[in-house]
This record gives sequence, C-alpha cells and structure tokens, in this order.
Amino acid sequence: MNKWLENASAFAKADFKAFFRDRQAMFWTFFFPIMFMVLLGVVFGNAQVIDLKIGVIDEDGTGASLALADQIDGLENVKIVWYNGTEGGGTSFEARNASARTALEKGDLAVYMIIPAGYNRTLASHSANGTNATGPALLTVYYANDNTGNGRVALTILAQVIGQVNFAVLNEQPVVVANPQEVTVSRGRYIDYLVPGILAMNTMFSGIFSIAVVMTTMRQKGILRRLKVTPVAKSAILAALITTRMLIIFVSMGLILAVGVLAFGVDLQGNLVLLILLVVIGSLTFTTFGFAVSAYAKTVESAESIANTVAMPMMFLGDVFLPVANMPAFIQPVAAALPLSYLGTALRDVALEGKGLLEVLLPVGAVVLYGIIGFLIAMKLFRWE
Amino acid sequence: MKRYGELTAVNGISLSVEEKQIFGILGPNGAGKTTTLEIVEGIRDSDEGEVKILGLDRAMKKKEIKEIIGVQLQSTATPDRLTVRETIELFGTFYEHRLPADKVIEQVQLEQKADSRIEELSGGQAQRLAIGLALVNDPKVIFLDEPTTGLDPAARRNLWEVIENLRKAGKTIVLTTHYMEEAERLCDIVAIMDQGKIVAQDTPPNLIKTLGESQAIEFVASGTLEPSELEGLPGVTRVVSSEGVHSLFTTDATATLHALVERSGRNGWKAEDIKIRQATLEDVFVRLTGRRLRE
Repeated sequence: MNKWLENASAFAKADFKAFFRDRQAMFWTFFFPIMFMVLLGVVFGNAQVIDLKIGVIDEDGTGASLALADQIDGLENVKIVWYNGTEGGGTSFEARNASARTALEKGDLAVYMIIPAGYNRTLASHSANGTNATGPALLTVYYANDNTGNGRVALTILAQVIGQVNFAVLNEQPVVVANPQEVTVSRGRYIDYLVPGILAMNTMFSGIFSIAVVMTTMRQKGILRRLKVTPVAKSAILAALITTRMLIIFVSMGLILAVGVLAFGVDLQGNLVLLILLVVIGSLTFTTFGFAVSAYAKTVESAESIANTVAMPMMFLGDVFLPVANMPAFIQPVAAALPLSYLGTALRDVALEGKGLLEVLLPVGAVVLYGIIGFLIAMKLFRWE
Repeated sequence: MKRYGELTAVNGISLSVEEKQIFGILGPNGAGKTTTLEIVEGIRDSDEGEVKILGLDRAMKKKEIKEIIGVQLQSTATPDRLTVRETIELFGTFYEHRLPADKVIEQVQLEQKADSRIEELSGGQAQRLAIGLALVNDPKVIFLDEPTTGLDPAARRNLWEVIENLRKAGKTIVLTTHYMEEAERLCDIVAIMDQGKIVAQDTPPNLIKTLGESQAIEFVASGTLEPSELEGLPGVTRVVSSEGVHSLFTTDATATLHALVERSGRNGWKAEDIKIRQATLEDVFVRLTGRRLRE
C-alpha cells in the first residue's frame, strides 16, 4: 500500500510536470476558458450599463439650453450627442434633424430631443413673474419603439430631468420623491450566468480531452506496455492520472472564479467547499467519458476527433453561453438533459444563489448518473494495449 | 508455444540461458523473436509451455520476476516532456530495490543529456535511455529487443559498448537482433530462429564451423560465366551466386584462389574485385534456411 501511494504520487508528479511543460495543453486548459469569459463578458456581460445615447438639437443655443443638456449629460450611463448648427458647419435644421433621425433608426441613439428657440426666454419669463403666460416650452423628443426598450428608458430619464427643471423654475419643492436603493443581484447580468457555465465547460474539457488524449498517447506509444513489465500497479497509474487532472481543474477553477469576481464583480454567494465538491463530481463524470473515448480510439488523432464530437455540441447546447430557455423549443429537451447542463445548473445555483447540496440534489444526481453510465461504458471498452 | 488464430508464431522452442552470458536470438523479421521475448518478459502469455527465470516460474511469480528483470521493448516510448533524469527516477520508484539515477545515467553514457528532455534526444540517445530504464532496478537478467535497429553505425557501436560493459558487470542478457555482425560481436551463444522455430543454437564460432568452410572468396565476373563451371575448383564446397556476386565457399582458400586466377580470362569471363572473407552467421543462416537474413 505504501508502495502503491509512492508510485501513484511519483507518477502524478511526473504527469503534472509534463502538463505544465505542454504549452498547448496549458492554453486550452487555462487561457481558452478565460479568453471566452473575458470576450463575452466585455461584449455582453453588463448589458444594462451600456450608455444610453441622447441626441440633442439645440435651436435655442443659450446658457439655459446648455444647462439642460449638461444636467442630462451628468447622469450616470447617459451620453449626449450634439447635433448643433455651429458644430455641423452651419447646416440647416432639416439636415441636422435628418441625421439625428437616421442615427435613431440605426439604433445609435436611444432618443433625440429638440430644444426650441426661445426656450431661454420662456424660462426667464416664468422665473420673473411666476405665471404661465406664454405656455410651456415644448421639447420634442423622438424615441424608437424597438424591442430594446432603450427609447422608453431614455424618455423616463428625460421626464425626470424636466421635472427637476420645472421645480427649479417654479421655485417649489417636490412633494413626493422616490427613494431609490440599490440592491446587488447575483443573477441578473450575463456575466453572472456565464462564469459558472465556463467553470462547468472547463471541467468537461479537462475530463474528456486530457484523459482521452493522455491514455491514448500512452497506449499508442507503448508506454502502457512498458509499464506492464515493471512492478507498478495499474490502479496507481490510473489514480495518479485522475488526481492530476483534478488538481489542474482546481487551478483553472481558481483562475476562472478570480477573473469573474475581480474583473467582472461576480458576487459569489455559495459555499466554496460545495463548489469544489461539485467540480470533483463533474470532473469524475467527464473523466469516465474520457476513458471511454480513449478505449474506443486507436490513435491520438481519432481520440481528439471523437472527444471533439462529444464535447463541442455539449459546449454550445450545454447551458454555457446560452440559457436553455432561450433556445429553440425543439432543442430544449435535449439541451436540458445534457450532463453539462446539469453541472452548470448545479454550479449556478450554488455559486449565485447560495443553495445547499440538498437543493441541488436533482442536477447533481443527474451528473452522477451520467458518471455511472460513463464508468460502465469505459469498463466495457477499456484496454491496456 | 504461441498461436494467433491459424498462425503459430512460435512453435515448440526450448532455450536455456546460462548466467552472466549474452544470449542472442538471431533471425529475420517475423521469425518470432519478439514474441518469444515477450512471453519470457511477461507481456504475453504463451498458449503452451513454461518459462522459468532464475528458478522462478513465470506464471506463478509474476511480481518477483518483475523485480529482478530489466526490459527494453522494441518500440520504446516514455512519457513526453520529462528529462532523462526525471524518467529514470520515475521508473526507479516502481521497484523495491533501485540504483541511484546518476549510476544508471553513467552506465548508459548519458551524462551530457541527463537534464535534457526526451524529445531532444537523438535516436541513439533515446535507445540508450530505453536501456537505462531496463537498469533502474539493478536487474539480474536484462532483455533487449532489437536494441540497435534503426540506428546509424556510430550509434550502434556505441550501444554495443554499453551492452559489453553490462556483461562485464555480471549481467545475464538476452537480446534479439537481425544483424549478424551484432550477434557475432556481442553474443556468447546465438540461437538462430526462423518461422517460429530454433534452427540452430551454439557459440558463433561453432555455428560457423558447422559450415565446414571457414572462408569465402567473392568476386564479380565480367563476361558470361556459368556458376557450375566454378564448382570443380579445388577446395570449393559450395557456390552461391546472387546479384552478380559469386561466392565460393572453400576449405582451402589459397588453392581456390590460385585456380580462380588461372581460369580468369580463358573462357570468356574475367574475375574482378576479388575478396576473401571469413564465413559469417549470415552464411550459416543462408545454409540452414535457404534465405538471407534481410530480404
């Protein structure tokens, strides 16, 4: 038994060294998932906090109209785009209106607003005598009724600003005000959805690919035959391989979570020990897939292509990048039943909602069931030579 | 005995190897050398027959046998991206009794490459590492399966030196080869194997002596020469003509050479490029099987 442990740990050490000298394996294990995460996180991760662009055609051109625009520009997540006469080289109102309209139709602007000439005078007269003699200044706002909802959001923001201007001009205090309180939610953003999915995906890739490739290489190159004539126990070799893959997954898990938390502010709710346990279970399940692939494949090349055939569709359908609920209806039952989807669901529930083991028993049980099936297939097909 | 379906790869062979000798199994590709060795090493099971190594029964004492033998397989591969020293140390941990890595590295003359990765080794160096891995447990018996196949002549000679040093260190070595020079130079006893059977087994000089003709005169003939014309020359026991080269096996090289030179130029052919050489194991093989070692 002592010898078994000594052999297994010596083999694991050698395998670990070999792995960290393999740049390609390092890339796929560590950088590939991070790259995916950063790219998608930057592009889609904070969908709500992308700046709303509000176009302004200032026909008034006075300090008052500038002050209004400044007040809008000062708001968080809002940006003013000017369509000014002077800046546009003295273009006519019609031309400026047309170009703002085009930008709105293209989705470059959420809304655009026309501040009419005389805005300043209307304001001034009200401040002076406090009566509404000339009627209100009309700010015409164009908004797009597309499905982003950005137009309506911008409209609401403008209404708020205008309300404030009114109170200021009338020198009155508002009677009812909203008292907004920010609550951090852990499930809202795309990046929050993405990080546990990437974790699940990486566990899958490490399990299937590295075991399939390493076992097939060792068999194809005759390393297993060579080991057979030494007194080393086969079980020690297998245990060493599974352990090193697990440690490697832990390293990449740490990287993924670190980037998720530090760079994207993902709020980890769950118990880290439980997360690790889920990754261990997932990794063992996918390891059995890797053994099955290596048992079936004759060459390293065929092991890689079989592993790809198994892993790639899972990557896209397995609830990593796209929630199953957003997929076409006919594919949803298949997608939801994939082991990767179950692992992702369990990780997400624990990481983001802080659920306990008992609450994720169903997806975890499904992953374990897949592991048992994989184990039986691997046992049936497995061969040393 | 080992059968593969209809084919009987190794059939009814019986070998016994003395301690502290180099025992060679010589034969062409497909003769059954590797199969024989793999049965002894324990990689394959035989369908019939028994193997004993230092008194231990192959089938009963697998684990004990593994501890005292060292094996170099024909297609040697080691885990990628490890250095020579790391690989030797890794294999060492598998055994109860092991040599220090430096000692093994010295034995196979890889001191310069000890910290190089395996992928940086030349063919000869990789082969020396493979032999080194067979030495990590300081084995009593070493099996080398075609240790020099695919190596250039310099690397081959270098490896012969390594193997000879192992004999000096008192190891028992069983090797296979299809190079007759290798068998002649290294082996104390050679078993000649063909089509799954041992056709002869003795020391190389004794095997050559069985030919009864210790020398051969070789020449190239210009013009037309009927080989039968050569058979009557004094001392000649056998004439072998192939690829334009005529070999006269003789018990009396001087007399044969005289007669050959005398005939040359008289009957429309001339003997050119005349050489006298010692008979070799290759000649023994051709005599026994009617075929050459490498065809």
